[in-house]
Amino acid sequence: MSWEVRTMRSGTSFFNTALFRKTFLRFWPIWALYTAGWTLVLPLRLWADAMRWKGSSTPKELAERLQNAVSQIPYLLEVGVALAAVMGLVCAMAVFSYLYSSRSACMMHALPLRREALFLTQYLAGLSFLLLPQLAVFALTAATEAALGCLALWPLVQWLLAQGGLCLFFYSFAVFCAMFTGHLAALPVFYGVLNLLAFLMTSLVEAVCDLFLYGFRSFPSPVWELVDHLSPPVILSNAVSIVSRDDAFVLYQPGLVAVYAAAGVALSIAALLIYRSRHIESAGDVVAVKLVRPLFKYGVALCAGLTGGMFTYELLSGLSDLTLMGWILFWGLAGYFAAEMLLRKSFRVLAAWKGAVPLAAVIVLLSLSVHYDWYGFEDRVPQADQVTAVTLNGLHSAPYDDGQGRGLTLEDPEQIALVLQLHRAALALEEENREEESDPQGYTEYLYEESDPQGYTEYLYLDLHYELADGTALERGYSALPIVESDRGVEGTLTWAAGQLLSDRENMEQLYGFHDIEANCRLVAAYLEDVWNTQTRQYETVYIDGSTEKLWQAMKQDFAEGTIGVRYLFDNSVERMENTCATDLYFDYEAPPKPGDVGISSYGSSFSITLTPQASHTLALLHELKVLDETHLALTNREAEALELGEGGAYAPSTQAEAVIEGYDF
Amino acid sequence: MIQVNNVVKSFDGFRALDGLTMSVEGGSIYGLVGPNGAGKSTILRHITGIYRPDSGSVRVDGQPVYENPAVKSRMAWIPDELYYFLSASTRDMMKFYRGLYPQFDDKRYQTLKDAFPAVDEKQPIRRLSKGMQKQSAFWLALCCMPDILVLDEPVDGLDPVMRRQVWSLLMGDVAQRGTTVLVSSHNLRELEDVCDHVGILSHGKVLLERSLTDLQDNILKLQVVFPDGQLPQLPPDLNVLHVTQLGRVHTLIVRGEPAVIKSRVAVFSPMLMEALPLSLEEIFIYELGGEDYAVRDIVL
Repeated sequence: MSWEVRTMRSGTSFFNTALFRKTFLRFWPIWALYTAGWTLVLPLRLWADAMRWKGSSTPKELAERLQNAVSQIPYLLEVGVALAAVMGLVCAMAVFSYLYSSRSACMMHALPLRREALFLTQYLAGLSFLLLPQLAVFALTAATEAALGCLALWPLVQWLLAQGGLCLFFYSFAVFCAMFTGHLAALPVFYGVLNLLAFLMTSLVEAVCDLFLYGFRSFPSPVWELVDHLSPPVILSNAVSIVSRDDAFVLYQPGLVAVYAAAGVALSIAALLIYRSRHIESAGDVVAVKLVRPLFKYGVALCAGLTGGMFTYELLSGLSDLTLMGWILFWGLAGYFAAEMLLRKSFRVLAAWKGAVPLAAVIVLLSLSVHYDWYGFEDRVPQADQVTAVTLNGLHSAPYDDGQGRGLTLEDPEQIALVLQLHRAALALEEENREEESDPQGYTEYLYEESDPQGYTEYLYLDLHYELADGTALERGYSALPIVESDRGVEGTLTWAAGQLLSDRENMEQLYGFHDIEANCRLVAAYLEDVWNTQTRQYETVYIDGSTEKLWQAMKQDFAEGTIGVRYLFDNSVERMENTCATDLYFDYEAPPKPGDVGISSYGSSFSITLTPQASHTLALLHELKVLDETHLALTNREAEALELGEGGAYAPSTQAEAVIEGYDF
Repeated sequence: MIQVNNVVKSFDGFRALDGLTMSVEGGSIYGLVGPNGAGKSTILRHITGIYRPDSGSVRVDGQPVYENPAVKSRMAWIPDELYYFLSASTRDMMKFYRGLYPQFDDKRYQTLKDAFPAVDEKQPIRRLSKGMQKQSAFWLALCCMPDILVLDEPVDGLDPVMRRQVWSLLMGDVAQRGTTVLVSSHNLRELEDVCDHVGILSHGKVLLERSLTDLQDNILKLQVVFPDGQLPQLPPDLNVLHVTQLGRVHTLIVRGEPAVIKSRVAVFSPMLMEALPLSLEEIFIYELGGEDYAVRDIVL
C-alpha cells in the first residue's frame, strides 16, 4: 500500500487510537484515583456494612437495612457534584496540558493529525477517565448487590446517569475554558471564576446598588433564577438533591441534569471551534484567543473594581457612596493594569493608559448615573391604577406571635392606596434614612432626643413588591424607617399609613395565616405558654387535653370580634402593654410535606397567638377547661411588668404584684 | 519539493516572517542559516504544519502542509528543544509513532539500535543526557521513514563521532530514498560539508538562496603581491567586496567569474597571484557583508 493511500486514511479520521491509548495510559493515576474513590464509597462500603450488620441483625432486618442502603445510593450525588467539578477540571488540565508549553504544543501539532482528530481524541480520553471508572463501579456495585441479595438497579442507574451527566458538563466546561488560555495555572482560575462569576458579580452589583440607590434591596427573582442557572455548581447541587416521590427516593430535577449534560456537549463543540482557530504560538499566554483579550482585560477590571471597591469601602467603615465610587475606580484601574501585565508578561504597562481612559470614564459615568439616579429608580412610585397587587413584608408590629413577620398581599384598591402612601412616606424620609444607615447610633440618639421626646420610636424594614397591570413587577426595600408615636394621627406619615394597614381585620387575618392552616393542616394539640402560677411563682407551660378544635373556634370567634390578634406598632405603648397578655396560645398542627421534603408524609408545626384580656370566648373556654384558674393566670404585659419591677428581680412576687394578681378579673 | 511563498507571520505586533519565500528541491540537503531571531525556527514550524501563516503559503509537492495529515505523515521533525511525554522511553515513543506514521519501519528500529548503542531504549528519555536525547530523536525520526526531514539545530549536543554518524545516516537516506533534508544551524562549517543548497535568513526574509557550488563559483578570494607593494587602481567595474593588507600581501574578495577576475588582475603584473576557495563562513561575510550587520554576527 502506498503512503498516500495509507496516510489519507489518517487524514480523514477524527480519532487516533495510538494517541488515545497513550493519553489514557499516561494519566492513569487520575482515573485510578477516581475509580478507587467510588469503589470505596459504593461497593466496598456496601459490602462492609453488610458484614457489620450480619452479626447483629436477623435475616429479615439485614435485608431491610440493605434495601434501605441501596435505595439511598442517589444521595451520593450531592458529593458527586463537587467531585465532578474537581475531577472535570483535573482531567481537562491533564489531557490538554500539551497546549501550555511551546515544546509540547509544537510536538503534538507536528503529528500527522488534523486538529479535529487531536481534539476529539484527547477530549474522549479525558472523558473516559471519568465515565469508564463509573461504569466499572456500576458493574461492581451491581455485582455486590446481587451477591448480597439486595439488587436494585434503579437507584444505581440514577447515580450512573446523573453522575455521568455532571461529569460530562463539568469536564466539557473545563475543556471550553482550557481553549481560551495558554497557561496551565490560568485554567483552574478561569474555570473557578466562570463557574461562580454570575453569582459573585450579581451579588457585588447588588451590594453596590444597595449602597447607591435608596429603596434598592435586591434584583428581582427572575434575575437570580438566571444567575443560578449560570452558576452550575449551585443549580446542579439543587438538581441532584433527593426527594421522595411515590415512596421512592428520586432526583429533584433529573431533567435539569440532562439539560446541563447537553450543554456540556454544546460547550465541547464550541471548544473544538475555538481550538481550530487557536494559534499554537499562544502557549504560555494567559489568554490564548486574541479576540477574548479585551474581554479579559475589561472583565478583570470590572471584577477588581467591584470586589476591591466593596472590600475597601467596608474595611474603612462606609463613608459616602462617592467614596465607594472612588474605590471602584481605583481598583478598576488596578485590575486593568494587572490584566495588561498578565497579557504582556511585563510590568511595563503604563503605555496602555489609553485603554484605561474609557474604562475610567465608564466607571465614573455609571457611578454618577446611579448616584444621581438618572434612571429615576428612587423616586418611582407606581400609580394606583397601575397596581394590581402588592406584597408588603416587614410591617413589624407587636405582640410577638405568628402575626409578625408574615407578608401581606393586598389587592384591594384602598389597601393598595395605603401602601402607596407608605411608599411615598418612606421616600420622604430618604435623607434621614440615609443618615441613619451611615450612622445608626448617632441618628437614633438624635431621634430620641429631638423628634419625639415623650413617645416611642420604632423602625420598620419594609419590602414592597408591586404587581403591575402591564405584567411587570416593581420591588423596593427600605431599612430602618423611623416611626414615631406622635405621628399616629398625622395622615400621610409613615406611622399613620402603617397603623391604617394594621388596623384592617382582613389584613390581620392574612398576617396570622388562618386560611392556610384551616385549608391544609390538621390541628393536633394546644397549650399555653408563660402562664403565671401563683403557687410556684413561676411562668409555666400548660398543656390542654382535648378541645383543641373548640379552642381554635373560640379564638377565631374572638378574632372576628376584634378582641384578639390586634397588632400594635409600638411595642412599649400603653395600649399594647395593657391589652395583650404575656401568655401565648399555641396550636400544634400537622402540615403536608413541602416540595423537596424527603421521606416525610407530613411535618409538625405550631401556630401561636397572644392572649388578650378582651378575648372573652377563648378565656372562657380556657377557664372552663380548667387551664386557667385562680392559680394559673394569663397576666397582661403591664401586670407582668409590674410584677417584675415590684420584685426587684424576675418573677419574685411582691405585695404590689400580689395586689395586681388578686385584682385580676377573669 | 517544498515551496514557501511570501509567508508573513507576526507575534504580538512583531513581524517574525516578513514575506519569506524559499524553495527546497526534492532529494536535496538544504541549509537554513541566519542570525538569532532571523525566523529560522519559525519558518520550520510553518513547514512542519505547526504554525498557520498570517498570509502566504507553504506547500509540499503542491499540497498545503497546514492541517494536512497526508503531507505531515511524510515528514519528520526534530526541534531544537525536544519534547517527550513524561517518563516515556524510546521504546514507548516508538510504539506511539508507529500508530501515527504509516511508513514507520519496525525493522529499521531494530537495525538502528546498533547505530545508537548508548541509548537505553527502556529508560525514560527525560533521564537521558542531552546528547542521548538527540540520538533518540534521530533514531525515532529515521524509523518514521520520512520523505522530508526537518531539523532545527540537529547535531547540537552530539559528540563529533556521533555527529559524523548521524550525518552519515542522513546522507544515506538522501542517497537511497531521495529524502529531502531541511536543516537549520549556526554551524556553517558543518553545513558546508553536507548541504547542497543554502538559504540565508535575516529579519524574516530569505536574503540569498543558492546552491553551494553556485555560491562558491561566484566569489573569489585572491591573494596578490605587487612589485611596489601598493595595490594599483583596479577597474571600477571589478566588483571588489573587500580588501585587506598584511605586509605586502593584499587579499581581495571579488564577486564574479573567477577566470575573468584572474585575467583582469593579471593585467597589473602582480609578483604573486593566488586564488583561494572561500569557506561558507567567508562567503556569508563578504557576499552579505554590506547587506545586514546581523548576518555578520553569526560568523564573527
